[in-house]
Amino acid sequence: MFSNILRRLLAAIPMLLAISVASFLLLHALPGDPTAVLLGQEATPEQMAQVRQELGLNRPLHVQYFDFLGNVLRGDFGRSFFSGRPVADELALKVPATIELALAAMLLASIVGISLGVLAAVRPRGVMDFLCLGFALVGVSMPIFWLGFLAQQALAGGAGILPFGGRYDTATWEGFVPATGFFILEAMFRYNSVELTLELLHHLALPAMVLATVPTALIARMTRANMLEVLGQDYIRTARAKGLSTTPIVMRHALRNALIPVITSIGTQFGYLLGGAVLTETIFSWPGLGTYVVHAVIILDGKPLQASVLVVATFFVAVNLLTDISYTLIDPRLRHGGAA
Amino acid sequence: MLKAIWAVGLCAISFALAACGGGNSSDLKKVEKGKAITVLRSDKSDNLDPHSTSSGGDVRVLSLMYEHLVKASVGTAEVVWEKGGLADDWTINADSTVYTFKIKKGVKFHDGTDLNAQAVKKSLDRMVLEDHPARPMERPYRDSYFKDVKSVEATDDWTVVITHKSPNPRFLGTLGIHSAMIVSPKAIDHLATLKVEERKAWITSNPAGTGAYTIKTPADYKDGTDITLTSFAGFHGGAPKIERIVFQTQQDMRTRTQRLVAGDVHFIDSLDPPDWDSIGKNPKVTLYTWQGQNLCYLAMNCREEDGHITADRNVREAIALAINREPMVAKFAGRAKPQHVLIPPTMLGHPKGYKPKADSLPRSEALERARQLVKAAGAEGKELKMYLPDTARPYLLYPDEVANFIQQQLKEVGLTVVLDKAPLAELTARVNRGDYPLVLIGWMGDTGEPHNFWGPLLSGSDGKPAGNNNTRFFHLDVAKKVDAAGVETNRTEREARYFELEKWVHDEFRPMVPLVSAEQSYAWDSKLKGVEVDSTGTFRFHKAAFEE
Repeated sequence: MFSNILRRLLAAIPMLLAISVASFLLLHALPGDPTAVLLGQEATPEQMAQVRQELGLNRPLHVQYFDFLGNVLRGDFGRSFFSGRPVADELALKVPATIELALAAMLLASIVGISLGVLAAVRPRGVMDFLCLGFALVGVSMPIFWLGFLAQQALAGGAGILPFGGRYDTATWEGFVPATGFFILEAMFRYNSVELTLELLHHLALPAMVLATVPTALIARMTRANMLEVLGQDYIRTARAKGLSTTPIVMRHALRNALIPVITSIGTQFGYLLGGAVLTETIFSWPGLGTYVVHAVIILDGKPLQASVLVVATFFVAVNLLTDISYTLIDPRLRHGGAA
Repeated sequence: MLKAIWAVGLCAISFALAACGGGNSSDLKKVEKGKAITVLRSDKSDNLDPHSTSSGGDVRVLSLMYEHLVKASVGTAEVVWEKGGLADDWTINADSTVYTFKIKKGVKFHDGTDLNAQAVKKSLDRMVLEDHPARPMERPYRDSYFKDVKSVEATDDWTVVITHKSPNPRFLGTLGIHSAMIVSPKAIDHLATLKVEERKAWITSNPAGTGAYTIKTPADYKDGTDITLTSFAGFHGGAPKIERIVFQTQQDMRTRTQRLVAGDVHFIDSLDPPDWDSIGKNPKVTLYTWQGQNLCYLAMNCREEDGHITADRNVREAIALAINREPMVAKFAGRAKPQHVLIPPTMLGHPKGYKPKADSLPRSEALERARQLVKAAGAEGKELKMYLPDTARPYLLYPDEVANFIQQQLKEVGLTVVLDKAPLAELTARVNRGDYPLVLIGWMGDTGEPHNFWGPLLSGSDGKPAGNNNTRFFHLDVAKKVDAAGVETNRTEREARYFELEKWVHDEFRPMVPLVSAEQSYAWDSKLKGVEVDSTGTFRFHKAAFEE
């Protein structure tokens, strides 16, 4: 099992290097002179030449790349031309916000999606199956901005059950200075405040529900399809013939086998969500990576864009790696070197 | 086993979080009800350096943290500059070249430094001196407002003398704009030690003014859409009752209003005009509206070197002929006035009833003439990239809709408009690069003076257009006439000079198409009393408090 994991880890390295080259070249492909952007319209040619020298822009491209790689490995992504702040500091706030939201959404989507898929598969063509398929169709088809708006109107505006947006009520809480951007963990473990933790979860609920809609629908459909296939296999018939009741057959024998492709789907979906859920983040004023990237694209702010591409791609590789590793935990054949 | 792993995991998380720094759990507290407010606005504040920004979104936050030597009147339609700022008194010599200010005593900056004449000089010098060691990356207001300042001198601890190269009767207004906000000398000294590209970020999260509010720790400035201000205990006007103000951004007008009515936030800006009547009747809300000193316009790039077809005067004339303002006014539910000139209706220098000749033609005739001009210029079917801001502005509440109106109207005369939406903070750099033939934008006056429009928008100096001149139009005679009108001390004569400029520039050069001048609005929780809105539209909370 460990050699399998090691092999996959080693395979990820060239992928990450290729990503670093692509993101490095991205900055050079952007229009405009970065020194002019950095120094503003009052800069003299001498000042611009000095900054070019300081930034090493006069040196050969491959030398610049290795410098860039060294800086990235030290966590230095440069400075945003627009805000003037270190990109690493900005990402340190944005990335955890996105991870928190994506994790909550995927957790919700996995629980609800797998449950719906199983319920639908147990009684195919029954009421549950019909409802599950209907939900999946609506979930996949409904534009997220529209769903977000409706959810906001119904649950925040009309009923007033959930907040409109944001990560917490910043006006109310004084002295909450999180160092990591993982607000829920900070509230729980550093500040030991149940009240603040609940408030953070309260704010997270609506955007997570909206963001979870599409993955829930996809997971539910995939679980249903795989469960139907597995439930039709000989060993399930044998189990039934031996007198086992439906619950252990479904939970112990069928679900475990049906889950492998579902886990792949969960991994891929999670990877996408880590790239930033732009629409959900915008609707719910969620200060995450998605809106940050879009902003950087609009204003052609090279360094944040470069760093974001690198971070998102690395996340994607990492999530895929973890998904692969999880197979070995679920499927004993892979753990013992067998073939799937 | 599983329990042990779980316990170790939790310990590891706690340990890792503790090692990361940040705040202490003992500092966490819930702010007393009625001591904090949330301001939900349409725009954001990415640059809180008063000397380098030109964005209204930045100025709204800056106005709570910094002060000027002079103070804008409250409760008047016209902007009048009064005492009550950081100067107790002032005198102006006969030809308006020398201004002498007596500085208020007992005022402290947020960083603990005392205000005195040297501090005022140091702050103003950052705008005045060309090679100031702490200069920001950009000073878009310098050319139009501060270039004629010969010197700023602190003649004693409490007296500042500002001398101009030529008469400047409008300088009190200049001292009322954000570029003349007074920044702590300690902060300026620190800025001088930083690289020019690092200065904006530092001062944005470490403000040092004399205002009633400040950003207590850099972490309180998360980004331009999430800023927490804390009251300044040493404020010379007395400690404010509202202790915390959170600025957040919500671009959708209806959602802003809905959140105010739901009690989720306490103050909002730029309400949707069709909602004004119903909101005005809601007992939970106080609605404040006024005819803004603003102009929404379409700038047309006139510079030959930029290589756009709008450098051809006939193409600009065709665009002006093709524009119909009626759907735009209708979109504002009638809460905007169609504009045909630069100066908005409530200001000195607005030629009431005057329209450029082309704007007086019947619609069908205007369109026919526009088509002919486009054809004659060989511009038929040509693409024109048009900038529009990515967020609504008080003068442009509906950027997408107004841009679409223009796109459709220009299509009728054979021109294809390609929309390019971007943040306002990007506009100056892009215009300077010559990126756009068309720019859909606007301007909000902040001094009450016509020069505040003519100088930055259609003039310039040293043969080049001013920093905010999105038309890139520069004509030496126009610039001279703008300067001459600006130094005219007789009000009637000054007004006549501006009338003359309006009549000449639009008919002769057509650098822009004025579109509308909008009414503006704020609304707040009706229990919140004492909110001050001055004649420039700046709001302040230092006297505000919740009352049942």
